[in-house]
Amino acid sequence: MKIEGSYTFQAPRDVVWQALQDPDVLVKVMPGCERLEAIGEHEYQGAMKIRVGPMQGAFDGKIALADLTPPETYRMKVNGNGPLGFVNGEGQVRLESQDGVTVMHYEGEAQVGGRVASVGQRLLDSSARALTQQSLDGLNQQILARLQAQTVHAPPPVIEAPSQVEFAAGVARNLLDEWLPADKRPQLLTIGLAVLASLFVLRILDNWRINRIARKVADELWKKEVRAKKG
Amino acid sequence: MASRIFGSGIKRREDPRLITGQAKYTDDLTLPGMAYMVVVRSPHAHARIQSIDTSMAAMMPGVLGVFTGQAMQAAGFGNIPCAWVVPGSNTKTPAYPPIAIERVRYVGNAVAVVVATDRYRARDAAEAVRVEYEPLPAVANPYQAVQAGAPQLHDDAPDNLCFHWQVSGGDVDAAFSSAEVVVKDKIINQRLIPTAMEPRAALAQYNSAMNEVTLWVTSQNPHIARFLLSLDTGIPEHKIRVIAPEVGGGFGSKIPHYPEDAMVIFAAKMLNRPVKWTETRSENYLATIHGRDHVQEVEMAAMSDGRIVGLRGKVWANLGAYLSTASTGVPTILHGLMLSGCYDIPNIHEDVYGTFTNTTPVDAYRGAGRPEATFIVERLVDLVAQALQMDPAEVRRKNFISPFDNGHTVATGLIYDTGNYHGALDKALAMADYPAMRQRQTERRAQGKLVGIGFCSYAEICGLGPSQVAGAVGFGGGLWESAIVRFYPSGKVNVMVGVSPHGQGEETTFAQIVADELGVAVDDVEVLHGDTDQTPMGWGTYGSRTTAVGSGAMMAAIKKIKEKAKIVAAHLLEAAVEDIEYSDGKFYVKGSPGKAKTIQDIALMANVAWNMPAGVEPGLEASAFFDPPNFVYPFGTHIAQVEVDRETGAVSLQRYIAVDDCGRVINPMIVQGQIHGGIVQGVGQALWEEAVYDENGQLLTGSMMDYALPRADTFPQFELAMTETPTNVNPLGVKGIGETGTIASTAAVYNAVMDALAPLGVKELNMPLTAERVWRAMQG
Repeated sequence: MKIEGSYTFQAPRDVVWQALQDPDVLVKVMPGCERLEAIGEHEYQGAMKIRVGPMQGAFDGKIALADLTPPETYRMKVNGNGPLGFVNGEGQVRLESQDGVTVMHYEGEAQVGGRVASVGQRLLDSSARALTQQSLDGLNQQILARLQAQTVHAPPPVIEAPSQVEFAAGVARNLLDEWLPADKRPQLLTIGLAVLASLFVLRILDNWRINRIARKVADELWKKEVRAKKG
Repeated sequence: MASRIFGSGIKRREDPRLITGQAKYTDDLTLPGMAYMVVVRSPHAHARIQSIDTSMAAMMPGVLGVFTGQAMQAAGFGNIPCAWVVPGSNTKTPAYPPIAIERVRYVGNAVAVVVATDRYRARDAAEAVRVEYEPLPAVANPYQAVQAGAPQLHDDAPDNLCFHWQVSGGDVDAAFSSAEVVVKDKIINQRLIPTAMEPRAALAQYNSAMNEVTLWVTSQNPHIARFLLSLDTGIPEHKIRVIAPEVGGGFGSKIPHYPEDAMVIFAAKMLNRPVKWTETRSENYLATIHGRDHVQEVEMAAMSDGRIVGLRGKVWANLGAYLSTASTGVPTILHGLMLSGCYDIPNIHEDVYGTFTNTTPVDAYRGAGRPEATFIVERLVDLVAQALQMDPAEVRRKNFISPFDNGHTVATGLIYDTGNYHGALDKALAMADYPAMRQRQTERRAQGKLVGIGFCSYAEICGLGPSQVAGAVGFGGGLWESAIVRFYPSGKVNVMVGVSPHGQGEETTFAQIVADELGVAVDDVEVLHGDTDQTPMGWGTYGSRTTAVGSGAMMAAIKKIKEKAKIVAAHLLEAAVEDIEYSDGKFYVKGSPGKAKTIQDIALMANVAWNMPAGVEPGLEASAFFDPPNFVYPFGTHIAQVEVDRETGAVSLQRYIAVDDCGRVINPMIVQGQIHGGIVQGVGQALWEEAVYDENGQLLTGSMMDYALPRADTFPQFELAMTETPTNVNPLGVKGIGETGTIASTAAVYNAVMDALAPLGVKELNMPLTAERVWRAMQG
């Protein structure tokens, strides 16, 4: 599975870089992330609950960063294991400074196996995209909050990672975006509702018709039986 | 005989219990103190096991034991045996440990088992078993597996080659060099998942004082299961009782002796309490055998008048990661020897390469080898017809073996029993009203519609088979059958058979035969099967052999019963045995049928034995064995008509005509049921089904949401008819009908779709013919 994209942070590059290296920040912004701690230089270990399609399960993982060129680029290696299977990935993150904002470019290749692959593969792409999107949104908010707190000298506000429900909603939103272009959505929704309504009416009519036929058949059978008894 | 139940479509006596939920399957059974087993499976297609940490799991509530492959080996349990090694093919049989040791070779390979007081606790604990893997490169495709540089699965099978087997008849090279037309095709006969309605299950109860075990298991052949278990569990055969209770379909996937059967026995032995394992559906897709999976490069040589002179091919058959019970026999004996189909093809040569890959083991799946052979032949015949601009029905007719009733030898060396292929084709053409069908096709085409008509004429080998041949082709068992027919004092009958039906309805058809032959009411006969302690030895239900071979044993036992009854009748009627006549359950002195003894009178007398002839044993019971002199070869012609949607590529099956010949028909309703199910399963392969592995050996179709099964609403009403060409290899003249539908329908529907797409010039298209694939092919 290929993962790639870019994201714009409303913050200077070195602030973004710092946040990206801070497990305490990352654990708060990744949906389902329960633990993330440094176990060596640029090496982290953690636990995460992941939901893909019909499946949900815990993953234990290791993240190792390499080829760091602060505050520009690093390579990342991820290995996750759990009852649902495994995820192994490798990728590159690049930060680009642009007029006060920072654009992050990321690309990588992930290999998944086990039940995640055999049952969840249809939803894997959208789940991964939603996970990335929500993590980066969370990170952006966290960074903004920190910047704000610095300017007013207040303690940084607490930001929670999205819950499983919010994550699922994110996946659904992503899927909807793929299937229904935003500009056509109201129109399609109207059509959809109209179709549903007419199906409902048809069903009632059909039920009524089937009932009538059934009653007729029952009547006939009853008459036959009565006749047979008489005869 | 006056009125016969033979040939009447009485309702299946199995059904009331099945449709009212009173049938007992393995998973319905609960024994006192029973524990549940869950298998920890590899998520990697190929990896070295670095460590297995069971400590967390072992401490979880309700957990009774966590076991690895080493523990099982240490307890004396051996590797899973392969029961078929084809001679002359240099077959490699690498070790198949029931629980992987050191290396895993496919996604779903067992690495540990957890046993707990209930299945939910076992499941939770299984998730707590930590296994460290070192992933290795994997290969899933049977052709790529034998190419240079492919990841290697087994040290003792270099280049992943399990065997190279050849079939040769005539002089194929000469035939091709003198041919006027040569057509070629590369066929991917894709991997399928059998998907029996009931997943597998096994329940073992071990008695340590007696060193005895009882295994309830979803098996098509409990006697084979017992035999093979005696080889790998260390428990002697006479101390093993295997019971196949109700079995919810198998389609071949419940023939093999699976690792889990040995695992539950091992766990029951270790914990000294009954242990049950029941497969989940997604587990079934990984851990139960798959079918087909051939890459085929084939060509056919013909003369310009349409006469076929040769067939040549190379096949790479995927065997999966380990050799399942009958796996090597399927792409060889059951496939290669059938390449003449229903035609006189004088020159045939095929090389079959059986290859190991990092995938679920492959074994027999409904049709087993014959669908793969039939597809080759029927596809190539169509290509010949196309090349010569001849009608496909005409090319078939031209090459059919002429009707024969006492053996016909084909180039691969097989001797077909009886056949009248012209008869079936003619009947199918008449039913289709073929000229009108083609006429309508022409009209629809003129309107821009993509309508296609496809044929499949087949002959298949089943009713497996003569034991001598089984031995000669390397099958590790016999293929005879046995039966016991037993009368009780009240005149009721038990028939105990070694075959093990699991949905095919032999409890009904066998009772019909007994009722006719012995003059008892059909409801007075009960057919018992599936329990090695209750039934005589037999080799099981597969290869459409149950009726063809099993009924032979039953008929032989019936004959003995009649002979003994005649002696008792003569004694009771105070007449000479030679003067006794029998008809419709009555024995009487020649010329005076008024004063007769019924079979029930004789059963009572024989059972109480108050007045038996001198030297005659009490009881009315007989046991008999039957080893058929040959296989049986059912045949037929199927015609499919499809329309392809120009916009979407969606294929709709509009008509389906099937004329099959399985010799004499015992119960037409059951025969039709078998044909219906068979057709549907074969069309499933043509249009929807495919087990997909990615390049890393991950199964991507691991659930019913990803693996498309046929559904009732996608089929038209089938138009069925039979012709009747009895076989001479068994007493009733019956052939098998369990697999013909599957063997024929895949090619018929595929050929129809290709005919529909012919105006667009589509030449290459791999199954399944999903709307997307067809649409892409239509775009050129």
